[in-house]
Amino acid sequence: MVEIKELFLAAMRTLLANKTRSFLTMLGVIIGVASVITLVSIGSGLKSYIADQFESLGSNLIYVVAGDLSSSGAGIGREMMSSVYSSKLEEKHVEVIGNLSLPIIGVSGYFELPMEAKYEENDFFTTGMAVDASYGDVGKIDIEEGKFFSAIAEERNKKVVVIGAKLKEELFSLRPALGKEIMLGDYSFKVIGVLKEQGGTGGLSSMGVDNVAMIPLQTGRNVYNRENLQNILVKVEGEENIPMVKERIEKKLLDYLEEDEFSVVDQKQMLDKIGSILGVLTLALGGIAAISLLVGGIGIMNIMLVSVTERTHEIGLRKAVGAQPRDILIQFLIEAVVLSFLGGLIGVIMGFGGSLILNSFLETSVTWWSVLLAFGVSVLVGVVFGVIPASRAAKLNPIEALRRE
Amino acid sequence: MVKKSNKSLIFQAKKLGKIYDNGIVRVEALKDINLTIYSGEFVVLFGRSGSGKSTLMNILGLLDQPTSGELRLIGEEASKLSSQRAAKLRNKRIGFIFQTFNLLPRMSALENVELPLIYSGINQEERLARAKKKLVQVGLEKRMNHLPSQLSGGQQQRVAIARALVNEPDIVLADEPTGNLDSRSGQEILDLIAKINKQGRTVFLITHDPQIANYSTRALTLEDGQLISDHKNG
Repeated sequence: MVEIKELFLAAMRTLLANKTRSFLTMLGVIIGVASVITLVSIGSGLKSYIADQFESLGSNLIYVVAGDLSSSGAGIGREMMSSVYSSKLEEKHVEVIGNLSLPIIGVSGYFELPMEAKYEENDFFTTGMAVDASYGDVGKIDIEEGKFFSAIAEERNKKVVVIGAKLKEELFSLRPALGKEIMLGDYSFKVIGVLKEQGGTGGLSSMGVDNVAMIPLQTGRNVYNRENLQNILVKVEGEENIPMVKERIEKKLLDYLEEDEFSVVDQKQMLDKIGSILGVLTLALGGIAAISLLVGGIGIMNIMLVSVTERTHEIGLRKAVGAQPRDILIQFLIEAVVLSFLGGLIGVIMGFGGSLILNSFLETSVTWWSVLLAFGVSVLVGVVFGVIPASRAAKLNPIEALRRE
Repeated sequence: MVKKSNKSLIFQAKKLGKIYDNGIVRVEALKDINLTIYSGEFVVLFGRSGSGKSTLMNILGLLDQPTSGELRLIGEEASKLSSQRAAKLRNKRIGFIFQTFNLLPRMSALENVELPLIYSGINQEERLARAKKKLVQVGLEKRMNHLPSQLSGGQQQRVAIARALVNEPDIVLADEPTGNLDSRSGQEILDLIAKINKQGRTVFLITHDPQIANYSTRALTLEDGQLISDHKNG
């Protein structure tokens, strides 16, 4: 029996003799593996990021949202979007919930509107969040300067606004913002507070807390002529009470609304829903990248077939001096596997690198399963696509092979 | 070392035939070859190109199969050999010398000579020792680490001879070993092959140079795939 080590050395010798070709062959696998890892890291980064944001909003939250979430498994995005404007949730439901004798810290209703914010020559596309004053008790509001609007300001229908850190920077850069009037759509609002920077997109606001312009709910309702609410947030006292509170709210609201006009979900359910959507997204991204891995594999097969044709004479000579078909098979298979293994390894490193670079723009997190999968598939690809050329080499008739130059 | 038993049977061919048929052209390369070769013989096979002499050598060397007839080779029925067993016999019992040397261009002289030993599963230390010894025997002790391209034709052929002998085979098959060499190098190579035969190895050599007959113990002539003469010398 020939030692595998010897066949390995013979294979390595060939690969090193054709460095450029070996590298270009590996490139397909490198790109495939790197893109699988990077794309999956984007998907899973997004997932953990959104989870973080939900958690940063504060724990023990229950959301009352418009529409029926329970019926459609993965339809949260669409359901939420289409139900924003047709929402049947109103302020009286906030009151109803608040009046229940439940272990509740606070109840807050709000709606969002995309709008343009302007100050002097600066403008910025933002999300206006019309919230009631108790949003400060329910959501997490950290004021950098100024204050959050009081219940009185809200009732008096004042045109005041609390802006996110990013929005402040866009409109005022380093200039003071407190007391200035900014335009939100067609109306002028006075800045009474600036929020602390929280980073990224956040919480329930689709644009992120840092970009947001928060205005009193009453004001928003009058100015923008809206009756309904998008969501109602309920903060529960004590995690153990969540299921009970949820059930009670659900039951109570059924007195006012139809079953399919609202859903009561807790944070965990919300995360699960979003998680399942992003899971599908991650798989789709990974799947697309996996195609390039397949193409890389075909590249290996192609080069190995060329290599067999090119080295027919050598194969003939090796057979003439006593190489078994098995020895030739293994030598060529090793070449293919080394190419894909090395390509996979470099791809893993590049995948980590790519994810690291992207991390400065958006949150990414490399998952161990994507690394394992991409690397495993690349090695498998090497074996599978190496077998055909290798067995062709092994089957060559020595005398015909020797005759070929 | 090879045993010098007097008359053990090396090749025994009976009504050996080889037909190449690709569906369009049918060529009868060998017809009814009856041939017995004993150990220690130095057989020279003459014939013009296309006479079928390389085909015969390839069949004797288990590189090719006859389409008819029988061949016994050192006690084994050639037609019954698996490709694995044939590879093993080529590795251990037969040494090939080719007209075009057939050295692997990226390997040094030493590595080329080592090659058959790799397929015998011999460890590196012993391989090196044996390959070096053979290269010394063919007078290339100073060229061991040269690539084939850095060697003259005669030197390359000596590397090939060292490779053919490194596994101590009983049989050496040489297909026009001097065909690509100038007359002086050719002479040296023939002297070397004659020496190999004196050590007890059976040599089967193809040529169309009639002078080579002087080295041999037996001269065969092939014409149109048939043996037309068989002379024993001395």
